[in-house]
Amino acid sequence: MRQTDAKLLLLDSKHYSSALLQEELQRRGFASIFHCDPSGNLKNAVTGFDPDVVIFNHHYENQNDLAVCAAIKQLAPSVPVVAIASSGPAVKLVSARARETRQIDVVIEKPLSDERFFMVVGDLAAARQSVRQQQFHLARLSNLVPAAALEAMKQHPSGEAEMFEAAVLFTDIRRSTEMIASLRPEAYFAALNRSLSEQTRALEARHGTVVKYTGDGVLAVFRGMGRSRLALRCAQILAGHETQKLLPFGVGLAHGLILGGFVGDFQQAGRRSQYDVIGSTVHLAARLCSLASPGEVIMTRSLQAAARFEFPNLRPIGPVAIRGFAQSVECVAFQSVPIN
Amino acid sequence: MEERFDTAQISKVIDQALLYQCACPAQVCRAIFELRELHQYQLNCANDTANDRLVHETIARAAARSHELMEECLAKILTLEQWDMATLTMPASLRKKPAKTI
Repeated sequence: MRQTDAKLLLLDSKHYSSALLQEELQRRGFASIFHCDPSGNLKNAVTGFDPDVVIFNHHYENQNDLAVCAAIKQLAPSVPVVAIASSGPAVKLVSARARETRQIDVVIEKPLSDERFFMVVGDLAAARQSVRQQQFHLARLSNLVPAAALEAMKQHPSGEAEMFEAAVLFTDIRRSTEMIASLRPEAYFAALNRSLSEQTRALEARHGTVVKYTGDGVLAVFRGMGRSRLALRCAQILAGHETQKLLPFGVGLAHGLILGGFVGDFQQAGRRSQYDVIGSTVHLAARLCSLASPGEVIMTRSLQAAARFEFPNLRPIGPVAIRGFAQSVECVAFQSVPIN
Repeated sequence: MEERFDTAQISKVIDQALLYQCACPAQVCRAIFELRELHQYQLNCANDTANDRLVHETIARAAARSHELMEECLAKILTLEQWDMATLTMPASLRKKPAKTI
C-alpha cells in the first residue's frame, strides 16, 4: 500500500492490542502513529502531535475510557474519531454514545475481519489532509488579500460598491527614492516590510482596516463610531513609532464620505480586480500625507474636532490649498518625535 | 437461557482477538451475542395468536440450543488454543502470530 504521511493518534489502554494495531496500520502505509493511553496526557498528545485521525480502541472492561472521546472533541473538534469496539453490548454502547454525543464519528466492530477499518481510517485521513491543505492555501491567500477586501467580499458577495463615512489614513515613507539608492534591495525590502508590518499591527489594534499597501506606505480606513478618534490615536502612535528610525514616514488623515468596492476587470473569472476606496476624502488624505514631514501627522481641522483629541504640540497650519479642491482646507499638524 | 460466559468475559475474548479472523474464538463470541439477541427478541415479540406464540417459542428454543452449543464450542476452542481459562487471557503464542489472515 502507498505510504501516507497522515498522522494517527491511537488511544488504547492495552499495550498488546495497540502494538498489533500499529503493526497492521504500518503495514498499510501509515508511518506516523502516536500511541497514548486514554488515561495519559491527552492534551500533549493532541496539541503536540496534531493528528489527522484519532483511533480509539475501546475495551469492554474499561468502560470509563469512553470519556476520552469527549476530551478529544474538546481539544480538537475537527479531528475525526474512529472507535473500535467488540461486537455485542460493547459496540451497541459505543454506537449509542456516538449517536447521542457526536463525539465519535465512526464505530467499527471488532474483530476487524476485513479491510473496512483501514479503509475508513485512510479515507478520513485523506479528507482531513485535504482540508488542512486548503486551510493552508486559504491562509496564504488571505495574507495576500487586504483585510478590507475580505470584509467587502463578505458584506457584498456580488461585488457592488458601497458609500460610507470613514476616517482615511495614509502613510508614506519620506525620501524613499534616496533610501532605495543607498541601501541594498534586500535590506530595503526587509526594512520596508518590518515597517509595514508594525504599521498594520498598530492599525488593526485600533480597528483600522488596511485597504492596500501603496508601495512605500499604507492606505487604511476606520469605520463606525469613534472612527476619527481611533484614526487620530493610531496616527499619533505611528508618528512616534520606533520604526520611524528605520524608514521615516509621514501620516495624512481626513474624514468624510468614501466609495469602496472592487475595481478592475472582475466580470470574467480569472481576470484581476482589487478592492479600493475612492473619493475626495481619500484624495485629500493622500495629499496631506505627501505634505507631512517624517514623524509628522497632518490632518483636517474637522477630523481633529470630531476626534475631540487635544495634543500639547498640535499646531494649526492654516488653510492648505489642495490641488483639485475648490477651497483651501483648514488643517492642523503635530510632530510626534523629532526625526534626525 | 443459561449463560456460561457473561458479557464481560465474551467481550474480553473479542477485545484480545482484535484482528484474527480464521479459527478465531472471537467469531464464536460474536455468534453467541447474536444468539442471545435473537432469543431475547423472541421473548419480547407480540403474540397476537396462538400460532404466533408457537413460532416465537420454536425460534427461542432453537436459539437457546444453538447458544448452548456455541458456548460449549467456545470453551473447547479456548482450551485447545491454551487460553488461561481463569482470566480468559490469550496465550502469548497466539499474540505473536502475524495477522496475515486479513
